This record gives sequence, structure tokens and C-alpha cells, in this order.
Amino acid sequence: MDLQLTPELAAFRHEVRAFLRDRLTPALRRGQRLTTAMYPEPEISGPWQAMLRERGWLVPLWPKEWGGTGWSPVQRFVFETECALAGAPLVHPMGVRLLGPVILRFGTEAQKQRYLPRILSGDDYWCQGFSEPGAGSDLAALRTRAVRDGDDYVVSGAKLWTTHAHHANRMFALVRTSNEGRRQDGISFLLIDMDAPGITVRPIATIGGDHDVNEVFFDEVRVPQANRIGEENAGWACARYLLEFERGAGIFSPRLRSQLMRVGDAMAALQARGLRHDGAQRELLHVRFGEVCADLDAFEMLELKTLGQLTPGQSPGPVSSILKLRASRLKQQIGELGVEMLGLEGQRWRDDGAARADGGGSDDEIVGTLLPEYLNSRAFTIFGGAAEVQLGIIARSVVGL
Amino acid sequence: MQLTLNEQQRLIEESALNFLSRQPDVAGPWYDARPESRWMPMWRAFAEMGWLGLPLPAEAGGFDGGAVETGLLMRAFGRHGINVPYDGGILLAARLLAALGTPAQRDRWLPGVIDGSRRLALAHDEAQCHDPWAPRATVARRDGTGWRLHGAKLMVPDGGGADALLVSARLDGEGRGATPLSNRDPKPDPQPDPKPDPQPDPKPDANTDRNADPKPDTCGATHAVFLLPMRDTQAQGLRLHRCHTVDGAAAADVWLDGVHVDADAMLGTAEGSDATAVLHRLLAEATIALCWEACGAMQAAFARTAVYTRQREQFGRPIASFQAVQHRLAEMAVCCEEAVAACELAALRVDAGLAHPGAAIALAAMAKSKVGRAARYVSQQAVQLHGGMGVSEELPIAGLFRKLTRFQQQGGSPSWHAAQYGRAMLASGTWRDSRTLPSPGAWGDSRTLPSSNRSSAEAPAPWISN
Repeated sequence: MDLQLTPELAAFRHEVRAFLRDRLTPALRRGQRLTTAMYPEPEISGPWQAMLRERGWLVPLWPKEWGGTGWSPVQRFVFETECALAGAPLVHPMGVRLLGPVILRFGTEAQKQRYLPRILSGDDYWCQGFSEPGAGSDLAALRTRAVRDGDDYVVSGAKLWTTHAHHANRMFALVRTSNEGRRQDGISFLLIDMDAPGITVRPIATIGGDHDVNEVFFDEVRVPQANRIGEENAGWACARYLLEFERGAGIFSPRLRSQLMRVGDAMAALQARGLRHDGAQRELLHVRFGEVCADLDAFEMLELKTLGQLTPGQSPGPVSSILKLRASRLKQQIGELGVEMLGLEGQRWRDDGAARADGGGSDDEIVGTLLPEYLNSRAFTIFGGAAEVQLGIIARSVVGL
Repeated sequence: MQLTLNEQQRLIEESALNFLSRQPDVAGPWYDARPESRWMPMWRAFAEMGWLGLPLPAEAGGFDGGAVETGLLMRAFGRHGINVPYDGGILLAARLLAALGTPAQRDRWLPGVIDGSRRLALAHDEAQCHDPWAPRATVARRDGTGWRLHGAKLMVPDGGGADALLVSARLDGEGRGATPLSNRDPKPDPQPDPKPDPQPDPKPDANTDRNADPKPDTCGATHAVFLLPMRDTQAQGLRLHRCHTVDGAAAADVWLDGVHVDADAMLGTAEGSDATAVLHRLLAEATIALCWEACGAMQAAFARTAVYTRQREQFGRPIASFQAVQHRLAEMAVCCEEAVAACELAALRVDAGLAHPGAAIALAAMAKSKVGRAARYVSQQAVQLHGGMGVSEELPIAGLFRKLTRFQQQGGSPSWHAAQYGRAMLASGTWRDSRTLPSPGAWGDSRTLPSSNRSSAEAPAPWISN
């Protein structure tokens, strides 16, 4: 075993750095730094997506004829590390990371021609219609129904926790097309225009004070059957394939480290204002900081090792549940550390005037992000399969139950 | 970059697991106190397979094995409950002698160590201070052409069985922390000193200096390592109290009441040389090796618990069918995977070469914090899920629990190491960079890309230092 970068990887890293140095603007970096919600707003992620596309680095996992890079998993890790540590915005993943691979795998040629170019260009902004009021971790319990009527489906029901539905012009959704047999065998995968008559988007206020998620109501919405991906009642396979990408294809550790850097920057800003940590408080912070660093280092190694054993395009399988579980907990640990280090400032709620009153520098605005970020981090062990679901998957596969 | 074992490493691991699984020790009981005569045949077999020379340099008759190779061997020991003084005798004592000793000292001792006919032990830990990197209270004073050693050493692994002890000691009157000690009573109490060791005079800027230093507080005294033969001559003023540690390993408390040694007992010859850096680097690397061994013991505890919960029936079904049990098993599996990754990261960084001993100490602290916490969880849950059998000596689980309990205390607790690591990371700023693929290059613009700028990343973090 060794961790030495090959000359090819070192040259690649150099290339990525040069790109980041040339293209990543202070405005985009600031936008990402101040984002406490799950994803940055479209005006931050959009321009960055365009720059990546121009460079040919937007969709590393897609086949080459559709703009894929053919990178090895380790190369992707290097790329993600450089982007995250440089403070580049997150690309909105719904189209490029989640839906794209599903269309490539299950879509018709016409569907590929129609949707993929608009995903790449950013002309379509997608949201995911999976969860429902009665279907969270038990996704197969979903009840939003689609009934055939001529060439259309008529869709009625509700989707919940729909991230950025208020920005999206399209949704990919799981709908019930049959109540026969296994619950999983009556589900279809539909693409729905958000401006279709009968759709209502209701914002949901969440714990961190961001407008991130929504409830989406469907009142007899007509959706052409041509918008179905895969066969009718075969949508569960699409969903499973997509969830594998949601859980496993993401590279978590670089973004976790950039989150930790934000904690560090906030503390530096508070100290510049005169905050002191004394005696026992300092010792305690050393312990907590050391534990978070050790956890993050070990996780980074585990993630890199897992990626290093994959062939390009291969999904890590059940190990992705271990990575998802630990990444979500680390996100929360770092959030906790941030709030604990804030001390009394850890009570102040979204007070834009606070930094300016003290005449602080540009790093001051980062202080106010730690508390919302921590509150929002609680969702990370809930969405995409709650921690308890991941533990069940790990027990069954890794433990062999 | 290779993220899987290479051919040689795979062979080492396979042959070790194979051989050890056939040892009578594996039948149990695990980690009980047993006489030397029971494990010496196995030790001699280790010699035949080249394991005793594995981490030693080729010019001393060894095989130049790195931290990954020795880690694999240690993990195999843990996996099969093998209790032998490999860490203290080979990874610490023999490597110290190879690194510091004169050609004459190496020629006299290392061939016997490698062929298994002689054993060395390192006496380093002390009652006065549980920090292995702190200056030693044991002191060596000039006595004619030789030295006199004063002090007490705690739970020296294999201290009662070794053919020679290596004793770490501070050199009296040398190094900046030496003054207060030399003012003390020239004849220290033969019992371990209950009073805290007097602190060295702080430098005027000691506080800021300490926090800006990327290393934990390792400096302050000049150290040397002395070799005391135990079999041929029983030195005057030397007293041994034989004992066992909770995992059944033999150990001894050692008192040095003005023990006289000749000049050639000091490892190395050069006057004015300081063994501190080598001592600290090897202590750190041995700590990482102990973490590998703990991973093996954790894997054994986990595997046995998974099997047991599938077989054990209560309320009419296997207890592994209960979700509360499944989730604990899954957490144990995650702990094992993460602990292994922490060990691999630490060993790979050691093998890639380290700039200074502080880097090895930081890696050891990272590994010990991570693996120590994981060992606590896995060992506690293994006992819990075994029910009453978990606290009996009928199964190896109790022995594994005792082994992993000792591991947590050995060389500093996980929380203490976490504090060390946190302090070192904050002081160096290296936490801002990837720890698997750290950046050697520099960005032009350090203000806007601080994370990836190596030179800025190494600047002390301003926070937590006030």
C-alpha cells in the first residue's frame, strides 16, 4: 500500500488547481461559504456548473459520448478534494448526478436526446419527488397515484421534503401505477413539468431558517406517458439505481473538511474580536477538536480506500451505507463542535448587524453560519435513508444476517 | 498509489494468520497469565519465519519491514489472541538498539534477538508522569567514566524475562529542563515518587512557544538509553517487582537506586548526542503498531459476537433477529472498518517518511484516539451481546475485553491522545489540508485559497492559542 500520487495524478491535480485559480471567483466562493442550507442557490451553483461544463468536467460519471471524463474513482476524489478545499460551490446534483445516470441507463434514445442536453446546459433545474407524508424511510409506501387516461397519466397526491421545488422547472417522481402484488412492483418513474396545471408548491420552514424544502401537491395533473422512464411498474429499479448514486457516488470527506475549515475561520474571526478560551475550556476544545480531526482523517482514508478498489463507473455497493452513515454523523459532529466553540455567541440568531457593529473583517460573516449549519445538519441522518435504515442495511450485508 | 496490500504484504498477512490459527494458544483461554515456557516455542518459530527481524534494518540482519508490514503482523496477533512481547521487545527495544547502538552493541545483541535466543525490554514508562513524551524523571549522572542511574520504571513489558533492559533516562545537567532535578536529593526514594515531577523552568515565552509548536511538548531535556544486562550480572541497586498486566502479559516494576553502569552501556557513543528524537519516533511508531493489534482483537470480538448472536436463541428466536442487536452489530462493524483505516493512514504516512518526530507523534495520537474509542465500543458491546457468557472466562470474549481495556490505557488514554492531536493540528494548521493526499504545491494566492496553500497551512492557527 502507498498513498503516493502517480505523476499522472499529480499532473491532473495541477491542472485542476490551475482551473480553480483561473475560474473560481470570490463571489462564487463567498456564496458557497455562506450557504447553510443543503445546496447553494441557483445563482451560485448555476454559473459554476456552466464553467465546469465548458471545461468538460461537469459529469465525470457519464459515458464519454455524453460528456463523461472517464476518470478513475481516485481521480474523482482528487478533483472533489481540490474543489472543496478551494471553496468551489456544490453543483446542484438532481440532474447531473441523480437523474442523468437513470436516463442513461433506463431511458429511450428520444428521452436521452430530449433531456440530457438540457441537464448539461442547466436549462432544466430538477427536483426529486420521492418522499411523501406517509412514505419516508419506507419509500415503497408511497401513494401518489398516476392513472392512465388516453396518452397521459393523471397524477394526484402529494410529495414532501422536495428540495428546491420552488426553483425547479421539472421534477422526477415516483408514482403508484398499480396496487397489485408487492408494493415495490406498482411504482413508476415519471418526469413532470412543474408548470403543469394542478401543481401547487408550498414552502416548508425548516429548523435552520433556510427555505430549502417544500411540499408539492398534485391535483389531477396530466403527464404524458412518454415522460415515463422505463416500463410501467418498473420504477423501483430506477429508484434503487438512483439511491445508490445518492448514497455512494458522492465523495463526502472533502466537503466535510471544508465545513471544518469554516468552523476554524469563524473562531479566528471571534478571536480577532477579542474572544478568549481559557484553561479548562481550552483543554476541552483540544480534545473535541482532536476527536473530530481523527474521525475525519480515518473517514477520509476509508473513503479513498473504498474508491480505490472500484473500477470506473462501478458503485461501491453496501459499503456506501457505511460511508453515508459516518459522513452524516461527521457532518453533525463538526456542526456541534462549531456551536460549542461559539460559546455565548452560539445563541445569536441570524443577526446580520452583529459583525458590523464590532467592526470585524470579512471573515466575520462566517460566524453567523455555524448555528444554522448545525441545526440543518440534523437532517443528514434522516434523508436518503435514515441512519437506522443504513444500520439495517449494514447489518444484513456486512454482518451477514 | 496503491490502496490494497501489495504481494509481499499479502503474503506476510496470510502466512501469519495461517500459522497463528494453528497455535495451541488459540484454543484459549485468551489473554490469561501463562508461564514463559508456554509461549517460547512459538517465539522461536517467529524467529524461524523471520518475524523477529522483520522491522530491523537489513545491515543489522533484519528485513527492513515498514509500518504496514509490522502492522499486519500485529493485527494477526490480535486476531488470534497471541500474547507475546513483540511490541516492547522488538518494535521498541530492538529497533532502539538498531537505531542508536554502536556497531559493537548491535553485533553483541541483535543476532540473538533476531534468532530468538535473547530478548530485550524497554523500560520507559514512569509513575511520575503518564505522558510518554514528557522528559523522564529517571536521571543518569556521571560517575567516573560511567554513569549512575536513579529512578523508577513502571510495568516494563517482559521486564522480568528479558536478557537486558534498555532504560530511558534524562542526562543530568544537560538540556534545558535539567536544572531543577539536579537540585533534588541525590538519592531518590526507592519507591515510585508520589509527588509530581517538578516542572522544568518555563522559558519566558513558554506559553506561546508551546502552542505554536507543531509537536506536543516533547522537548526540555536530553535523553540517553542505557543497556543493563540482566542475566550475567545482577547490578547493585537494581530491584524488580514482577507483575502482570490485565491482559495476562508479564511485566515488572523496576527501581534503579544509583545503579552504576559503564560508559559503554549507553547506546551510541557520541558525547553530547541526544536520543530524545529517536526515542519519541519509535515510541510513536510502536503506538501505531499497538493500534493495529487492537484492530485484530476488535475484529475477533466482532466476528465471534456476530456468530454468537446468530446461534443464541431467546424468546424463541436468534437474538440477532432483534433490531436492537442488529444495530449494535452494524455499529461494531463500522468501528472496525474505521479503526483499520486510521491504522492504515498512520502506517502509510510513517512509511512515506516523516519530516520530524512531531509528525509521528501526531499520527500516533490520531490513531490512538480513533482506535481507542472504537476499541472501547466494540469490546463493551461484545460483552453485552454475549450476555452472561461475556463476563465469564468460558469464552475468549472476556479475555479480548481485558486485552482491549489494557490497550486503551497503554501509552496514554484515547482522550489524552485526542487532546494531543487537537493541539498539534491547531498549532500546525495541517488539518486544513487533505490528510490522505496532502498538498506539496503552493497556490499563488494564499489569502483566497488558504486551504490549499501549503505554506499558509503550516502557519500556526491564531485561534485557541490565546
